Amino acid sequence: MRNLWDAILVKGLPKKDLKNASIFNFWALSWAVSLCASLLASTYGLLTPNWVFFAVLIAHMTIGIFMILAFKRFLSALDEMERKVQFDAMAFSVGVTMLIYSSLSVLKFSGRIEDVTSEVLIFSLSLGYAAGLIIGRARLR
Amino acid sequence: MKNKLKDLRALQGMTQADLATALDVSRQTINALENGRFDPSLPLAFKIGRLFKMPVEAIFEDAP
Repeated sequence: MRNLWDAILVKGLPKKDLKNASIFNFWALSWAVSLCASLLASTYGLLTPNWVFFAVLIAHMTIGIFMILAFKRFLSALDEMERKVQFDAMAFSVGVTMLIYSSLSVLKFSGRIEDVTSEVLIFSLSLGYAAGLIIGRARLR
Repeated sequence: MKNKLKDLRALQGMTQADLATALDVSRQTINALENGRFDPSLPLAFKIGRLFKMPVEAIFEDAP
């Protein structure tokens, strides 16, 4: 149980890794906010002039690029065990997402649910990744 | 993979944190290595060998 709490609270991660993780979290949060804001603005018809639409799109993509670069930096600074935990978690999240998405697609084609949206992909990737990190850290520490 | 890391560290009077600093890894990695839950990469194994002035095969043993 203590291992699990330590894993959830990322106890023992070196300061440089925590700093890089914070930078990545900032960009990930900014990306999520920009995604929500873009979708909301689009829904309410606030992106009608083309230049506003493309400005918002470019801003969202730029934030996404910064998020990717921050994650790359975070991964490359990690020690090899923590990097293995991260890669295992990524593999786990991809597997979970494929399973969830294919199951939902079967439900959709059988008419049991109406639609499978892209939000499901982001949600299952995030959830699978978080679960993979906790499992990996609890197992290896 | 079995290893003698814990014994070698104790012989040198080092803590897990000391060894972690010397090898530029986290203390959790040292703990996982000592308990055989994680196998090091070749570069890390050679670094450990150099630190204890021993060949890698004298520290790590391939467990069947």
